[in-house]
Amino acid sequence: MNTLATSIVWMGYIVSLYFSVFLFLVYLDKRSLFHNSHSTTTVRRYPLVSILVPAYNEEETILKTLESIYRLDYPKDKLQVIVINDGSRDKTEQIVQEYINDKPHFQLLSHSNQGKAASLNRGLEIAKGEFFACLDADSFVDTKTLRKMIALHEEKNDERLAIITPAMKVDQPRNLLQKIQWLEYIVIILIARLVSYLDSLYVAPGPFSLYRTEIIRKLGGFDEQSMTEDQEIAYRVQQHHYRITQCVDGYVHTTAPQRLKAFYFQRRRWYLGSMICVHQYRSLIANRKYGDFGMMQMVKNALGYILAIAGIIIAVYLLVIPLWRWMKDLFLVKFNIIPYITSLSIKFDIMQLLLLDFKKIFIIGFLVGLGFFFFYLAHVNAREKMTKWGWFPLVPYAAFYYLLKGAILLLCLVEFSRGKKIRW
Amino acid sequence: MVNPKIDDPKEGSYRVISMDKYIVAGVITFLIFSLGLTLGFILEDQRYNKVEEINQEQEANYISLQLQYLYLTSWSNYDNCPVLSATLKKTIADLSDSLSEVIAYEEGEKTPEAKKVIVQRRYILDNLRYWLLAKESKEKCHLNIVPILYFYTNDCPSCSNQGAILTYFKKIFGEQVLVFPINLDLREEETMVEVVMGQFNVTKYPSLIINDHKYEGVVKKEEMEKIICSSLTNATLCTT
Repeated sequence: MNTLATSIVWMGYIVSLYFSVFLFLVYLDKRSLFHNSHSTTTVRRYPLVSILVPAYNEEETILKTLESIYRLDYPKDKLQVIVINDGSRDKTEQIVQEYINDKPHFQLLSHSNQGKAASLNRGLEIAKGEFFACLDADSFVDTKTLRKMIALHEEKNDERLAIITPAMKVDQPRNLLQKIQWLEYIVIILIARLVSYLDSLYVAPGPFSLYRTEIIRKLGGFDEQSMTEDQEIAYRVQQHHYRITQCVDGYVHTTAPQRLKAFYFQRRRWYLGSMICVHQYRSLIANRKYGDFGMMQMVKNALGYILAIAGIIIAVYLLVIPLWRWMKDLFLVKFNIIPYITSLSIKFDIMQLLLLDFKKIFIIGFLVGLGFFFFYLAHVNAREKMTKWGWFPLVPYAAFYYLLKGAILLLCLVEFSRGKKIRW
Repeated sequence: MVNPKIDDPKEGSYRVISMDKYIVAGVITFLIFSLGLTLGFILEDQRYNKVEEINQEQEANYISLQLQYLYLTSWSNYDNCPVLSATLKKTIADLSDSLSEVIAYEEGEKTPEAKKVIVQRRYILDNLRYWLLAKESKEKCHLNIVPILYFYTNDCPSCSNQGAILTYFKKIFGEQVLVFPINLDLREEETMVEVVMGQFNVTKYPSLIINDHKYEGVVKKEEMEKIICSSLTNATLCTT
């Protein structure tokens, strides 16, 4: 490895260690809050809530989504559900029309295909609620979630609280890729919770984030040019010093991509979207006026790209190159592996132990330890068992998943720096 | 995008910077670093002693072997051949294991360049003298071994392929195949390398010397198997 790669790797180690330790300290500070993890559902006043459901070719899941809204534990006369059919070419419109026939608090809006942000803005124009929530048509909300969010808003009683974010889980994972994402989302819930304590959330997830209508209107609604309007709105809310808070057990269930290709396109949109956002709001990076959001989260988001590059270098160095060499060597001996197996011996040698690089071992050890602790805590926090889907998904999750994500991130970085098809 | 100006002096008043956490996190990160560094420093002494031990043991082994050889040639008493053979095989197996460790140690960041070269020269010289000893013992004692002198350089692209094939046969034949690697990158520092290269007229890498015969370029698996089997007597692994 040359000097540049080595310094990037070391920087990666230091930055990851620093942020992990920092998050751990946040946990220690707020540890008492973790004991009582059930949010209250007691609401004194039921404000009118508009629920926007943008749908584009969602005939498969839209009914389940609408059904989850219908079952919400909230007075029906305080709900206004607006389904926005964004020029679907399948039967979405008919299905929705049929479903809402006997439900007066549901309404359907149809227009030619304009994209999700535009659909949300059209819905926002006719939304009457003091609050509005968005629910993607591939996601399903728990019956108590809205009550918990409204209760949280009452409890906070904060003029500047603009968005309440949900705790997002993967809905009924079937294959390995979905199970791995299930694990990932559990960890994200915990990280978002810790970050929320620092007023540093930078995403308002598409599935059931609850917004204060007045504030979002004042800020100009959703950005129709953005690839990831759910990140852009969060950054804009932060920029204007409004607050975003997580409802720690306001669960929504979302459909995770089942195929690698769909997964790639989803992540590509997320990562490119986040790069554009970080670039667009770069004046917030290390800006003291923005408190922890500017000094920690924005710096971390910007440094995240260095971390990704470091991760890739480490992985290639540790995994891919040895694997490639091994395959090449096996090819030379015509894949006759029997001699290697028969001559295999486990030999403990003090010298080999002495030759280890202790600087790296210590840091990697601490990172792995902290990582495992957060992984465990995340499952306690989300009230799930680590082995809900067996031990098997844990292995690729720990060994390969971050490599895959890193690779996609790297591709996105290349695309971003080339500025291809990206508007500023 | 609409970007309205909202001017409220109190708007960011809830923002805080958790300075205490930043500092504590920095201190902990620094501590983990220094802990690793300190431990490495403490173990440095141990490593050095271990390396010295290996060097001295190698030296003693070689002297013992040389003496055994001298002893049996001067009295022409070949009854001691089995002892010599056993010692030779064991010592050479140790040589490749332990010296690679010494080299890994000396190639660590702290060792100066000059010292690395000395260690590598020693490794080459050790290999050459053991090769000579193995060759002569094979003739005198009719040992059933194949000594292979293997010339390579660090940056030759196909050398690692030859290395993989040699490792494979070492795994199969164990102590019957003795490989003595010579790194030609050091031929300017060590004149002995030039001497051997000149004798066999080595111009390409990788090159192998087996039974005083030179093989240039990568010797493939099948060819190597033939060469090894033809110079071993009644090797059970060759009949199949």
